[in-house]
Amino acid sequence: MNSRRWEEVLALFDQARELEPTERIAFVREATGEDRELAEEVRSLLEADDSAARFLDKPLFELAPDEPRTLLAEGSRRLGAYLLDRPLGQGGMGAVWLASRADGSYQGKVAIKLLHRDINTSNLVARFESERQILAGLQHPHIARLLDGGATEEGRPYLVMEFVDGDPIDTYCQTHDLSLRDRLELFRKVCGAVQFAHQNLVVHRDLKASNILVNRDGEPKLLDFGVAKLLAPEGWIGGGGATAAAMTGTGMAPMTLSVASPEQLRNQPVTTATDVHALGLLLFRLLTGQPAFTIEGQSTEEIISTICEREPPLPSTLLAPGTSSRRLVEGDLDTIVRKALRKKPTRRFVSAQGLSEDLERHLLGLPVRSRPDTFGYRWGKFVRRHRWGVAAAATALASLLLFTALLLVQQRRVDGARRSTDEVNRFLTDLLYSADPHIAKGRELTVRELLDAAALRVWSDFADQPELQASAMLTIGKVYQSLSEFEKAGPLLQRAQELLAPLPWVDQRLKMEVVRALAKQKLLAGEYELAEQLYRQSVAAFEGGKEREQLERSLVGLSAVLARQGRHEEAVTQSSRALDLARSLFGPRHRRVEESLNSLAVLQYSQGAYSEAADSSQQALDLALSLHGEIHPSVANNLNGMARAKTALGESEVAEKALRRALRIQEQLYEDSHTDIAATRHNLAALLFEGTRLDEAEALALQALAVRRDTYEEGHSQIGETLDLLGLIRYQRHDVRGAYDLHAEALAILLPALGEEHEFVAVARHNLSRAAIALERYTEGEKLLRQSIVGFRAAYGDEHPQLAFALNSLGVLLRKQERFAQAEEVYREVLRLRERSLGSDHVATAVVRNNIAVVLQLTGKPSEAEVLLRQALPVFERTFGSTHRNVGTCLKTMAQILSDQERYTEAEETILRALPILQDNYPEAHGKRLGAQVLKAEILHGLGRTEQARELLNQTLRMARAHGRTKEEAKAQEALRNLG
Amino acid sequence: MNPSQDAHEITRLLDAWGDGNRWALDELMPLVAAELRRLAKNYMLRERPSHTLEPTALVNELYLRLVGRRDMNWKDRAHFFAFSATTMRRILVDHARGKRTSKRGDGIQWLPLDEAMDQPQEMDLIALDDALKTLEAMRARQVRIIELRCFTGLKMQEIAELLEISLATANREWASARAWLYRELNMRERG
Repeated sequence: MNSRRWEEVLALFDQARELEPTERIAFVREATGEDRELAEEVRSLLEADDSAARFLDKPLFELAPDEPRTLLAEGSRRLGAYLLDRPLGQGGMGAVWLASRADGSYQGKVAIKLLHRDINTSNLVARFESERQILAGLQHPHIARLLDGGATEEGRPYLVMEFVDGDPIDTYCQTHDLSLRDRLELFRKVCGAVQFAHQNLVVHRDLKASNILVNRDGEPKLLDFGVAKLLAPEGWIGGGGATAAAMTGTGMAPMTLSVASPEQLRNQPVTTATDVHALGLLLFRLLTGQPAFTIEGQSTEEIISTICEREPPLPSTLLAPGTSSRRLVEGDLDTIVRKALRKKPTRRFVSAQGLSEDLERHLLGLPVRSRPDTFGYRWGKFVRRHRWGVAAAATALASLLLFTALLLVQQRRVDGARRSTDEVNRFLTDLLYSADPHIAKGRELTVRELLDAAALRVWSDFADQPELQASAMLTIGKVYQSLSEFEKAGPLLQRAQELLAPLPWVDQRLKMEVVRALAKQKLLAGEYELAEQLYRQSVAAFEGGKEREQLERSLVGLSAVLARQGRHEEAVTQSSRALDLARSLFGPRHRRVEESLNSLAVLQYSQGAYSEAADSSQQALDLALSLHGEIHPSVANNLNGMARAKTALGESEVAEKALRRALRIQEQLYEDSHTDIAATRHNLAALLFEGTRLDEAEALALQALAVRRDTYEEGHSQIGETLDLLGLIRYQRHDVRGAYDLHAEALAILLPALGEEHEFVAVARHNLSRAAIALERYTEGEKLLRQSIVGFRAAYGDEHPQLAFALNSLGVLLRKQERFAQAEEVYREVLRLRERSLGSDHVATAVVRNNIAVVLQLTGKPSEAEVLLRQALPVFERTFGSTHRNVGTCLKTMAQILSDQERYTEAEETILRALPILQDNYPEAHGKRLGAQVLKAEILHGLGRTEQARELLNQTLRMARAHGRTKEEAKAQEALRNLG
Repeated sequence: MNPSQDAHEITRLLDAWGDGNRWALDELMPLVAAELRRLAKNYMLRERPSHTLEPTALVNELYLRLVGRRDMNWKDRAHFFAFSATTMRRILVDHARGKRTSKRGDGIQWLPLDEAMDQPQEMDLIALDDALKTLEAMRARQVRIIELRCFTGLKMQEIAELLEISLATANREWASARAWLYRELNMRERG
């Protein structure tokens, strides 16, 4: 459209728009005559206009909202008794105007702070009155006075202050190119003013460069004293700081985030130390020209965490290296700034004066009172900032490096050793210093990054001293192992071994330590044969020698790898040896004893000696608690061990408590991705899935799986274990197909990873067989099951409860295939095994009784069945709770048995208890529910209520047909025929 | 030139301008544009609703340094606002184009300042910019009004004064331009 045409359109559009909407169309038609195109153009524009009411009604970008512009057009410039002159600036709270008294009663210029409307200051004026006395008393040459306060006619609050014609202190220093000494002198004047205010019980709370102007005479003036407090919401006064919400929400910010102190951000009491912190930030800026914290582009949460947690860099490090300005700031001034900026208010200077005095001492060349952080203080803080697990790794890193140095002192020429010690120390110190944020590109290194840095440097740093390099590599490798970063540990340990191999003089201990670390690596990677070989090498090196401690270490490792291979007896032998050694070497209350006990417990568990395992775990746990306190990996570890044993013993409540406690401990210790947490989650999931808490169990198992998949190589047995567990959970959720797939995947991992003989393989086969059987693939199921039974016998011997479990499953299968005699025989063997290993009251024993009862019922021996079932039922109720599906199923069987014996009244009572439980636990058309309904009908018939029975059977028949339940359909039809 | 040097230079030019050196304003503008760009970049990097007000405060600071410090004559003020509006438009559109090239077909979602929390308003800045270019050929004054309204947030009264037209005229021009843009953008969407 050209502009001429557009003008035509516009003219018509404007006129039409003046009209009532109903008249517009007619007008346009008339006005455009023959020009249809023009009419359409105007019409569609009018239509667009109707819809466009909210289009572009808000600016996309707003320059200078509010006050300066409203006064752009000559409006009223009068504000109370003041005449506004011109705007001075725009701050977080509102615009500042230069003004003078309208009545001429006060000659000087004033600055008026016109606050945003949304500042909730309903009682600002009243509050101003109450503060007035104090603020009026604040007469100091370096403090701008607060003169007056009020509200505009629209209720907009304003504050009147002495006008200072000057530049912000940082700009001033820069534009006047002040020397360091001048800057410090100027800063000390600021301190003096702050100190004066503090003595008058006024805390500034929002000290920053823009609030400190330097006038033409070079004198600083502090603005806004008392303002932050005046403007603070009621609750804020006299203590608490503003919450993050209050600062970032629609309300005003009573402070500026970038200069806020940690206590303000944390809603803790604001004291004079808050101003000291602000002074520290200011000093930082004056020394470096840069802010102490880089918060640009960060979200509020990030800013808060930066200010509350990160250490600012040392000022000198922001200055160009080698320059005199850097040298002048290094040392004292760095230390002073650090002290003013400490996170904890009580660790800062006691007062602004204290800060000022230390600067004075520095200017006079006297030693300053502030002490640089000692190594210990620094290290301690570094450790505290990180969660225990990682911090422990860091501590281990430090202590092992020092240990390495000591080791070398012992075995090498004194001067050479001295050199080594120095080198190790320097390496260590360098590393710690690289934890300084300024070296790490303005942010703090995590221990992990620190370690990565160490790992990188170790390849080059000691290149001319293979022995030292190897021990450093060993150390770092071990720390990686403790952080589950096996991939990073591997190359370091491998290299350490290569370095040491050609050096005959190197201590055997060091060499074997590398061997054992490598063995552990192999163990964790699932390469058990290699691991065993390495551990045996280490055992052989110390067998019969004096270094019994080394022997003990080696034995512990060996037993662990034997256990992993399923060679439990050998493992227990080695483990017991290690335990005895540990006791004789270190006494009964020692970490090593605790570790040995723990290993032994694991082995006992694997052997099926659950009570013994629980005992060992308890001993280890007690020892760990007394040695380390609650929050320690060993405590969590032993709790896990105990829980496993208790689970196997049927004491699930005790087990659950222990696992949850372990999880709490580990969550405090480690990051979420740690394999120990995954292990505990796996165990807890395994426990919960037995109960009715499948959701939590599945969630935990999935979390564990994710971590394990992330951490371990594909095909690692632990991934297989969790997959297997998930399969069990899916099975419990009636997702048999899903369960089958998961178990199949688990088996596909576990079989190659662990070998044919391994117990886990047997377990996975067993579970897969169960799913196969549920899918009615009986042949496949029976084959898997019989394989698993062979596996269990091989792994555990005849007495093991797991064998009984598998035999029980075989019994179930045989029973399903109506091979009742064989089934009963298998069950009877299971019952014998269970009574022996678990006792008569154990739930697993009760399950077998239940199963035998079912077979007996089916083979027409209801009275024998009843005896067994009456023993089982109370155990189920006690163990699972009275509404558990197992109880429902058991009651149904009981009703059947009673019905078989024509004891219909008892039978009815029993089936009425069973039905609601089954309803709650199974889907509508589940075979168990339909079967129970058929049974109920039969009982009703037995009681002579035939019509009721018929109705129920017809209903059941319909349901069975609708869901293709042929078996139940046949049953119902037969029952209907029996009704006659 | 780094930002602090820029700031220094801006201060110097402002002083010169305040002393009556008209040329200073011309030199000032590119620097201010750079400064605005820098601020706007910060602004848009964040793109968090809770932060939408912060950069306006920053831009305002700059604005106040320009407008507030010295008396500004009418012509200069109009000049300044027109300049600011065009600059902001370009910055925002550049940003939107940058985003579009990195994320194909994904128009910038611009949040109106006041209602950032509850009423995100989707605005295809590139389409808007294209439409404005078309409108420029038809009636440049309408584009100035849209720019001043949308990219500096001036009120209609202020726009009228700056453009030296009556408020009624400004309102009329605004209404027709807005309707045309609305139709244009919606047709584009449909097409």
